[in-house]
Amino acid sequence: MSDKPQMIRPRNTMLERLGGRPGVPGKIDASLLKKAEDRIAEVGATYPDRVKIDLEKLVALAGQAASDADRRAEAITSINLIVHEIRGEGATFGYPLLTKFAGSLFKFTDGLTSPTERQLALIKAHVDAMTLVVKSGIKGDGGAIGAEVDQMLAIAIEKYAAPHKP
Amino acid sequence: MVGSTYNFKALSVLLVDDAKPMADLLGSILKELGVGKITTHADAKKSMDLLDSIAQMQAAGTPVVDIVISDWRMEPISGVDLLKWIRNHPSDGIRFMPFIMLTAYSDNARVMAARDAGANEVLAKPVSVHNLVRRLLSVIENPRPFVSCPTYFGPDRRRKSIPINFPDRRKTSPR
Repeated sequence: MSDKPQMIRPRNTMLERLGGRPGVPGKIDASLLKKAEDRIAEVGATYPDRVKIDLEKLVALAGQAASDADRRAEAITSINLIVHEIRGEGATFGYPLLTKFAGSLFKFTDGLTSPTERQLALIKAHVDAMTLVVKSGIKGDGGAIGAEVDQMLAIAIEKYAAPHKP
Repeated sequence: MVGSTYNFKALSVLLVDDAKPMADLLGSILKELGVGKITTHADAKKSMDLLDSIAQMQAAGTPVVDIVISDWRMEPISGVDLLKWIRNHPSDGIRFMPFIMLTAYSDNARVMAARDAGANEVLAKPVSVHNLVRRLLSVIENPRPFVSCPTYFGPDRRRKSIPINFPDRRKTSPR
């Protein structure tokens, strides 16, 4: 690699192969876009069954974190990995509240190694809220039920994340 | 001028994601869009092996991977590790390969980190057909030139032409 900064224009063979022309924006068949949208809806329909497996793992890991001090850090790292995936998947498959709660738990567990009892309780509250979203099939913002679950978790966060008062 | 309708049958995409629901979904969307070849790996090491073998066969004119779409957070090799490996590959056919980084990280620092590692595009979750198509069309229709310097190799990170008050030191060379 030369020390001098260089600007390189790689040959673009894709455009021509796919039927496009340089400088002219191409189109994608609208019927294919519709099929792809329908496919998301189809895959989304099976998502609750898939994510239930992850939620069961989260319940077990939250239990492990609470009861096994030696494996606590390991359990929280695993929780962090799982909720990172769920926060990306939830809204994709029509469950934005799941993404919201998973994102909140992801931030809360990121770098957390020695949680207090209150922090462990907050992890459990998140897992419970996520389980409720899936069990109750709360899609979109979930309307009144969604707002209620959201509020419940907000109260739990306020209760458990606040500094402990003796 | 009215553009033509793309036929993605001749497109080959390498999809790398260790989360099955997302990998299945992206694979399905690409299939419905008519993408001719979709190779899916849950482990980036397999992708590295495939790209190495492609690099060796390229001289014989075998089909190549056109675009890599990879999740960021994977174990044991992350999407950023894979991207850096691609950008440092000795074969031009591999190191110039368009790379779309898929991520649930939405903070600006992470997006900048993906760009600094040499990603052409960042596709933030939640995934939609519209967002995926936009990223695909960006790398197909408007491939950015690559910058090669001692501290960076990858697509030009400047998307806007901002006037500078000093001479541009970069030299342009076609490939």
